[in-house]
Amino acid sequence: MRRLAILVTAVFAIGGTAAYGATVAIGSWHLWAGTQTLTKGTCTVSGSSATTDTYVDSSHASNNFGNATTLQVKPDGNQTLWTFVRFDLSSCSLPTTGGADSATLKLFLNPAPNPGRTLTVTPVLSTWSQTLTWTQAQRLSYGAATTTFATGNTNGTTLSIPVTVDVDALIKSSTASYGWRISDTGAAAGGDKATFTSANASSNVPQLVISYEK
Amino acid sequence: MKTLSKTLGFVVVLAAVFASCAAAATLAIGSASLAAGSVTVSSCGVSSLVATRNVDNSGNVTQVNVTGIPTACSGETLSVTLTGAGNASVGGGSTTIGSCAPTCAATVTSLGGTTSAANVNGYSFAVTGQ
Repeated sequence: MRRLAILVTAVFAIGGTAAYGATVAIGSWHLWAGTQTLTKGTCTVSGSSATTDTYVDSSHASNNFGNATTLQVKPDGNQTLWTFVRFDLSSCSLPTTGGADSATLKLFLNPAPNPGRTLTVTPVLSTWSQTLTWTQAQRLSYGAATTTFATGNTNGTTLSIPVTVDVDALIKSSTASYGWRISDTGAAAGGDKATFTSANASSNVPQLVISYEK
Repeated sequence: MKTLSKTLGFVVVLAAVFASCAAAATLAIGSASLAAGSVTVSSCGVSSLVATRNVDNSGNVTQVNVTGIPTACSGETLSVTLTGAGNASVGGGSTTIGSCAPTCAATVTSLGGTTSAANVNGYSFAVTGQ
């Protein structure tokens, strides 16, 4: 009988272990899935009420040219010219959760430099007005250059300059847009001045074309 | 002797019963017949997510930023799919949600190729973890 008792105990022990193993929990998992739908749109900003633009001249450091019908760019030399342009994006009514799919600055070149030049677009990070002078422009804050673009040497050409990354950041941060400086960092040469039509002109004014999502 | 035989018979029946249990314990995890158990599937507290994306100057998506993730999801995996026309996938990736408070934010930077933001009509999210 004693042997029998030992045998029964052993069988229960082995069987019990197996039964415990069969009921071990596999685990607990988290799972969530969802979607977000975007709304697409476009917005074109132009015109004198929505555009502030001017150029500054190192050879006339205290003068402003905010009422001129042209915007001018010239590399370092005896005379340096920088163009400034900015737009009021409030008419686009973009929320900060939105963003730019693309943003293009359109400038009408006339007359063109000859030969063509490569110009640099730099975001301006502090405020300025249409009465900006060369001296004042030296005290503004600037970001890293956004892009460069080639003017070509054809008069009467509309140039499309991508500024998507800057406009996307502006929409997200909901900060004021101070626009861009356009300069020529190349070597001075004959025929090196680029001239664009300003917002004061009757046609071919600067435009900012934005495709956005929200 | 008769008593011993009955007892042995009882032992044999007991062994057979527990042997069945032991056989169940050796079922393969991948078996199609694995239906019993105590697997619990729930959310880590997410009710909705909102994403924004960054673009380069050419308008291509460089990263997707997801905010408002509950802290209980820390350590779990966030998968984001960029969806285009017809809800077709036009890119996506995943990342591990880090530790954070009061809510988590996650950034997916590897999106499986170049995707124009103009072609992205929405996002699909999945948060998985254990």
